[in-house]
Amino acid sequence: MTALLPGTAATWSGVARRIAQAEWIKLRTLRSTAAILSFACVLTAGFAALIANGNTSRTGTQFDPVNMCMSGLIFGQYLFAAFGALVMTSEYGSGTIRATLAATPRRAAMLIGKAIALAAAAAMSAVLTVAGSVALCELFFFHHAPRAALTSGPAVRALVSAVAILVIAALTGLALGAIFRSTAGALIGLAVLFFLALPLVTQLPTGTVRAWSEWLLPWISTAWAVRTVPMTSYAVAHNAPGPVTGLLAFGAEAFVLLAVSAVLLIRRDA
Amino acid sequence: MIELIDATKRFGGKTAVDKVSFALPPGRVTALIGPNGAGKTTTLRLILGLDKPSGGRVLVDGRPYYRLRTPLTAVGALLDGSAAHPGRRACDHLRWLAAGNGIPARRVDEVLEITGLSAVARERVRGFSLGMKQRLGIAAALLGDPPALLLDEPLNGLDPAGIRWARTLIRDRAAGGGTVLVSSHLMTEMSQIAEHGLVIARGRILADAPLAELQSGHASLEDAFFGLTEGHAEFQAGR
Repeated sequence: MTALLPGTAATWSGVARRIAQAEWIKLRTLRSTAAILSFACVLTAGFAALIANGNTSRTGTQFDPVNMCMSGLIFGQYLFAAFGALVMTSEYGSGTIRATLAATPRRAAMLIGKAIALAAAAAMSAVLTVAGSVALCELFFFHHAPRAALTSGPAVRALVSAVAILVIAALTGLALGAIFRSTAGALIGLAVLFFLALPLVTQLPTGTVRAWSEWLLPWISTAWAVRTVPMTSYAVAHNAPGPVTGLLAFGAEAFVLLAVSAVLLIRRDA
Repeated sequence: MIELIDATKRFGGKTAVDKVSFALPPGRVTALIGPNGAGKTTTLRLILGLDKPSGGRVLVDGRPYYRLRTPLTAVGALLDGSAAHPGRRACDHLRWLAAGNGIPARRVDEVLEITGLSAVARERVRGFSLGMKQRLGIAAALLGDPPALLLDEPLNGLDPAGIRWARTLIRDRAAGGGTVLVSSHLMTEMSQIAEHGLVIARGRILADAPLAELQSGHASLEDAFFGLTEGHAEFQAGR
């Protein structure tokens, strides 16, 4: 009999740590992890740079450099979410989910371990993505324009929120991946949630359904969360939640979706 | 000890496993034999908790599989190939499995050695042949050096040398006091590997007896099998 590493079976917290470790190894040992996260980073920073470059009115009270540096976030959040979804759906696609659940039959614990490892990976690349966006905008496009006062309270808050949003987006993706169990389903679900729900609602005829949807959507649609991040001097759009409230709503939404996915994971056969 | 007590699994209106009861004692190779669609794989999935029973109980060492804290050290399973992600290196697939169950990393090298995969350990599973994937699946099953092995069609894709190796491995595990359940539809092969037979068709256990007893009065295990499963096969050739 092989002697197990110390502490393995002693406590559930020991078990939880090992599950997160296993999931971390899984993330590190697939090339697609680095590929999709680098792609997200480059596209997000690149888009911000293009926006900043194209902006001619670099003065005035409406000009908000931090906001501009974060304009790539609309793509970034979707790509981070896609990454989260793929972490789950690739296991269903390849049959690895059977090995995963045979090794970790406590399914909620497995999902929590996955979420921890995913959040860690997403946080690292989110910091790089946000830092890269700011650096690119500042270095190349604001050399003759007002630089963003990066140490001001609102600016710091905006950049920290941007990192948080990317991590929450990844966790939202993980939840949708576990709910749909197919890459196509999860990516469509994320696209509806992130981009399509809002414009579709405005097409609805005026009435109760539309009124309810218009009240609800800013809270669940992540496009709003992104818009509420920078918000240094950015005009508050209609009934959008404030920056902190928006972020909390986004986080709560991810939490609820993860809870739903945990229940489905436990109830369904693998 | 693995034990099923009236285990039943229904998918929608279809009953895949119907009040199946059996116990697997240690020190014996048991063959789970049945035609395609008989419920062999579902039975194994029930033991591993991948499918939840619609009725009855499925116990590993007296408790449901999900109550095991380091399940890989209790039951090693090979289900339908290696279940390894094609983009991952073979050694990394075993590394995450080991980490999650507190199995020391050196055991990864040991099972790679046992299964003859040491030379390709750092290659990605995408490039593996069916036989190599099968060996990797067996390596994963042996990782926790578990007292029980559940092997679903373990000989699939193995070459003659591989089949011989797997046969010896399976018999050695049982000889060393292990519990081994091997599912297959390869009768001849089963009569060389197993001592005991569980014949399953349409989700029901038709026989639970030593292979010698099942075979008596028939020319071969194959004949005995067809005698037992007459009219039970789910997918019979046109007649």
